[in-house]
Amino acid sequence: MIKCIYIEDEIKDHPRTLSILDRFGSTRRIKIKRYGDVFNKKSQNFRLQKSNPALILARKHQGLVLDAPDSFGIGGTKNYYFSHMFNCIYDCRYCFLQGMYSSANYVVFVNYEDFDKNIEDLVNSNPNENLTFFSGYDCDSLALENITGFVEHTLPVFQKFDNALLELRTKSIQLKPLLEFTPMKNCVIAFSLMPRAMSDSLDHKTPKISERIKAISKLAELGWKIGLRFDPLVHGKDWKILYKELFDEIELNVPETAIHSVSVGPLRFPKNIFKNISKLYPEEKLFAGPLVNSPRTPSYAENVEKEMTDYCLEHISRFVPKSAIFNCVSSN
Amino acid sequence: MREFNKAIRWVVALKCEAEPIIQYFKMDCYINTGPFSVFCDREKEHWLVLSGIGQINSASATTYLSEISDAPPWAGWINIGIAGYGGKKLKDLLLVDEVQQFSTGHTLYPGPVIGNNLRRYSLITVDKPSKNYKQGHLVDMEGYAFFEIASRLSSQQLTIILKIISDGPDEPLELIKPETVTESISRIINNLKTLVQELENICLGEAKRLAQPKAYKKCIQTWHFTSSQKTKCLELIRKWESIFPSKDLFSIISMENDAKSVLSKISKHTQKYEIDWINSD
Repeated sequence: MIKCIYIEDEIKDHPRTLSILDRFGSTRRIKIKRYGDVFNKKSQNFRLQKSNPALILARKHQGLVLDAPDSFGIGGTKNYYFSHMFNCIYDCRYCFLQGMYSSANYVVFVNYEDFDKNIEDLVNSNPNENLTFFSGYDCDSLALENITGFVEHTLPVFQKFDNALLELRTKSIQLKPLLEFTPMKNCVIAFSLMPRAMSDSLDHKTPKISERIKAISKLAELGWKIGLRFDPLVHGKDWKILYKELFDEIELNVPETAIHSVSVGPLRFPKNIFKNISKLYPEEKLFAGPLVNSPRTPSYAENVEKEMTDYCLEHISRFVPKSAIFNCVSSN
Repeated sequence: MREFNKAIRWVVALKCEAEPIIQYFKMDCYINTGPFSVFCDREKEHWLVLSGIGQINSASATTYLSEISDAPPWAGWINIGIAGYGGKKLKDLLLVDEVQQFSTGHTLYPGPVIGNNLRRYSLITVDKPSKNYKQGHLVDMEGYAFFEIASRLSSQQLTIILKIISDGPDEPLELIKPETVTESISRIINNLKTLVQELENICLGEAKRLAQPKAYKKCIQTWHFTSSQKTKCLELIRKWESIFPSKDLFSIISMENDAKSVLSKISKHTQKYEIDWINSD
């Protein structure tokens, strides 16, 4: 439950601000100059704030659409990401956001039209390329849809493009906006998944894996293209059995024809982010796993990583064509 | 198993504001010969400093209390006192979530994680008593400076500013008597108690997270560790405690001769551990 909304002066009269505020009735509102005045302060306690985050409504001035990291990619020739929001209503213990930001408050950038313009410019200036735009890098694309209306706004923008694919990355089963649109051939609804036992322990406040698979099944049935994201791969006792069970459940419930792409990524953290997260949650078992301190990114040992990736890729390739499977490994 | 004491630090400007708190939490004078009078309870969990009026006093007293009470980084800090208000006079305890320094226009945004049932207000901290009450805003002479310092000693979420309205356009400050102030604070002491309990619990949670494990302290007392070995030792003991929360580390290392073999032993035990996700709590 949001107890306080901070509103940048500059966008206080923006129609999207007003429409978001309408949903909150008499919730406490505080006007601010820039979102960073609240969001970037160093003496905040992310872990405590996460139990009661505030909402910040702001305008994004720069860096609206950015080049995606090299390891990102699901078949396009150029990859970009954009974030209408910072932070997430979920609380996943491996999420890099908790080590990247000093605040757990949600920032929503209400100037969606400026994102649209940047995307349109990129599409128009790359007519011979296949572009992929990833949403859901700094937030969950769908989880706060009932407040942000982001998907409802963004889908029509992409309906105009032939050479641009939109990926909405989510753990949410809030499907309302997608049910109201005709499925689009250039939009992938990508769900993050891991074996149930790991998810129960690591994914806090998220829909259960079985619920996510039900949602995938429903969207597939309607004709939406589905992305399956096994990122991060998590190690532990009987991990092979756990992952196999997950793949079997997916194979049983999601038709192959609906699967646009599958990506697999090992558990890795930039060093500083790992330091912050493990300080926030020193009791977390995940960080006591067989992680090794490679120079830049704590991760599982190379042989463990390889064994897990190979095993998963092999099993996934039994129900998904190899051409649709992507291994997202960033260079160490 | 680690045990921690509660750690609440009070910064209060006037004796008449502090009196009900000192009594309720059974505090006695700890020191009154220094720059500020300091009180604490027998368990040394609640400490209170009388800062006097104004931002410089409040900032100095906050720092002084931190040092004299050896305040841990998980301490909850509370500033409570009277404030002017440019609106209807409420008798409730009010929680501040925006505080502006009038002289500079700088604003800070406390994000308190307690007091969800309290009304939240903006506070303007002025340098001189003022009769220019701004509609909808509280006015005091300490809040900004207190928050700026205390939130750095602990965190924004554990730094709380609480106000009770004393004066306003129809009731000027100079007519407010000390006994009336004491009565106002006494009236809300039960609300305050609930709020403080909430803060104490959150602080204890933070203590568990931030404090050095007892096993680490025992290790560095028992064997000689170099500086880098100490860092490694702390890292390994935290890992050990997250994997084996109820297992005694010393049962496996007590026979070791030196720091190097201690580290090697703990490493050996933690490295071969595989997380059991199915049976994990």
